[in-house]
Amino acid sequence: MNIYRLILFLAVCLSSVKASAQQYRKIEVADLQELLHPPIDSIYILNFWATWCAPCVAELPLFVNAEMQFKDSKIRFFFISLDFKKEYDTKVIPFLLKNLTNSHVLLLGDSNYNNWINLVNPQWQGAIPATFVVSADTTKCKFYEGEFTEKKLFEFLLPLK
Amino acid sequence: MKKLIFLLLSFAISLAVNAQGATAGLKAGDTAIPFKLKNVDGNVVSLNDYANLRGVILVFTCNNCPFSLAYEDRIIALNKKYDIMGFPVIAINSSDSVAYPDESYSKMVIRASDKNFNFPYLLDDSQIIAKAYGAVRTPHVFLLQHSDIGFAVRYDGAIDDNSDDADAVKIKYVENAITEVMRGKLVSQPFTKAIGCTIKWKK
Repeated sequence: MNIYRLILFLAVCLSSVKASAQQYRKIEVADLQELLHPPIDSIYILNFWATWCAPCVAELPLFVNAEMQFKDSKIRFFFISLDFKKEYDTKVIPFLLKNLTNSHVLLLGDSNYNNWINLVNPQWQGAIPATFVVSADTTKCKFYEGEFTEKKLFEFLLPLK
Repeated sequence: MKKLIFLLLSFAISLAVNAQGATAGLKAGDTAIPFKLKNVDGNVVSLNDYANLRGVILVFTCNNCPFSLAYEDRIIALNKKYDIMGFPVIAINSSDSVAYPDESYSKMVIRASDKNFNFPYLLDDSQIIAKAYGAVRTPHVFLLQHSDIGFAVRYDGAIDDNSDDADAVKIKYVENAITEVMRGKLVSQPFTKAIGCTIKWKK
């Protein structure tokens, strides 16, 4: 009996690890280009953040909450981490598994920033947090550099609904 | 006349301040804005103290940002290499120490002493200088060259192209700019962008 319990326990553990592991993905600048051109009926919210950035971490729960509220809409949220590659295993992935379990997290480890910041938006100076709305409908596109309050995020997202 | 210049300067600063230091601010070719700020040794350092040198490597940085920390040794190395060539480093911390106590003056004193900073580390408590220059993140470098009209900005941006790993750097933006300035050439890449901690503005 005990051995069956143990097997069951291990199976549950393994499956939960697998489910969580699907939530994040390492990406390159080429993948970022794809994200910047969503399908015609979608709106993408790209939030650039890092675990080392205190204001980024502070606003994440607001985004997770907003993501749940917009679940049935055409809006998709992507959390693009700019963490140092050497901290992925020790710091970043444990953080994701704890705080962003149901969100799409992308790890962008290309630190040749000057090569790709302008691709995202020429007005962006590179400070994070920075949040971009991208859509085939360019009237919807906009960005916000800095930390959101709950009210500001609501005002930012509501016109997209 | 002096009054007029002062008024114009104040106006220029207020314009930059209104823009929250985001995209306004100084670019290559602009005249640098003078400052007088308190150093970690208690003395006041003024940009004009450097008027007899060829220039200054002005670095907006802070105590606690991982990017600033990743670049500290490289900033110390810059000063070691270029101080004797007439381009010493001046570092400025403009981050809000009310919301972020690790950025306080006393913590600056400790950081400078722990890391043996071989350059001044100045407190920009009012954040006026960061806003006037248009510094947005840390570290953010402005290379200033001394000229007939005072100091002129020759480069604005990152130190190099790899924050992650100093050994994997391919392009040293600041060093290239200094080399070009010293040869009397125009800086070929006068502006770069980088990811960094935003300067913590006062609320």
